[in-house]
Amino acid sequence: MMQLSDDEIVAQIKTGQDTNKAFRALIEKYQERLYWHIRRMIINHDDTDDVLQNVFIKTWKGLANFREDSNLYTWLYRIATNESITFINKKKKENNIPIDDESYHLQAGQADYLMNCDEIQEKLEKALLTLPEKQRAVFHMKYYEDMKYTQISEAVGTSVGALKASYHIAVKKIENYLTEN
Amino acid sequence: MNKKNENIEHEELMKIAPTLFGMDRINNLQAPKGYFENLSDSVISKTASKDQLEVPNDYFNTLADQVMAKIEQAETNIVSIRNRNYTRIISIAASIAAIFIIGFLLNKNSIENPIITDNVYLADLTSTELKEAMDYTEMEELICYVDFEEDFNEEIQFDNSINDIDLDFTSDEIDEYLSSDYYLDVEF
Repeated sequence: MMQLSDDEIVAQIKTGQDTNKAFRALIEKYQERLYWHIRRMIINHDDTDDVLQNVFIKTWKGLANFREDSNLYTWLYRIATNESITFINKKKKENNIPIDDESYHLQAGQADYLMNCDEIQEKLEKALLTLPEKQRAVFHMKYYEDMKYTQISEAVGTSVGALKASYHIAVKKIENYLTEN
Repeated sequence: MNKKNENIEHEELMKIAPTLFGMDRINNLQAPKGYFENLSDSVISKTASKDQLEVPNDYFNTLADQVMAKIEQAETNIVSIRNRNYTRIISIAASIAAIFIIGFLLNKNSIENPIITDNVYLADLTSTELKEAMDYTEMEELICYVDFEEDFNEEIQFDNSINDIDLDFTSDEIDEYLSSDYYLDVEF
């Protein structure tokens, strides 16, 4: 099946032509990338699934007002980032963990997956879990997804300069963690 | 990303984080098998169910009439601010008048029959009247009325009993009385 372009998807949904078909195409096109983006922040699969489905439902509701001056791809990432951070903060609040406490995942017993990693990968994963959520999101987009700073900038609503600094700091922190532990 | 920028970024990463740079970019997290095959169906069913909320037949045809009927009903029940002010003024005036009347009656009765106290009047008040009275009366005053009623009565009675005693004794009779032990047996 030929994949629809972002413009075609948006146009079809806005005009009401084959809306379901177009929306299905949107989900299938972005589900994996968004899933891993969210999963990297939330870690737990079930929570990721809830957040991801909410992201698509919000996308569905917001598409009618979507301004085509921004990129559908980065708009989706923006919704996903915001939803993930909102979810994590809500969970922290429920568990009486301070918002700025980065040990949430370790405290919440969500680090089971580390058992399957080799030693160095386990260290890297633990190092990532010490990063603040937004910094972790930026690191993931840059390091794992190889996104451009301009794309990340659109996705998280931060200037390119600030993102470069954030990524640089994240990399240094991880390197220190890897060498010191 | 063009090749030049990519190389610069890789060089930077190698320089500031050689350990990280040397690592494989492996995804250690796993998604359940078949998860992505069913996700679109799951999401679409949720968006569809939100759209398929049903509205009773003719709901929108009758909605305007229902709203107008409620507005008309509400208008007939509206008490204007002006009327409400009159009601308030009248109730305040009535309360003040009631206080004066109560005060007058209390005063009058205490003159006519000193044994009847303010508490008797308080006991006779309806709950509404009592509430109104409390608006104009300090709580301490009300408590005083209740707590000290008996003492107050006894005091009045004692005063009266003193007044009723015939004090027409001669000085000899008084001396005789005091020189005897009789008064020692008297209980006060």
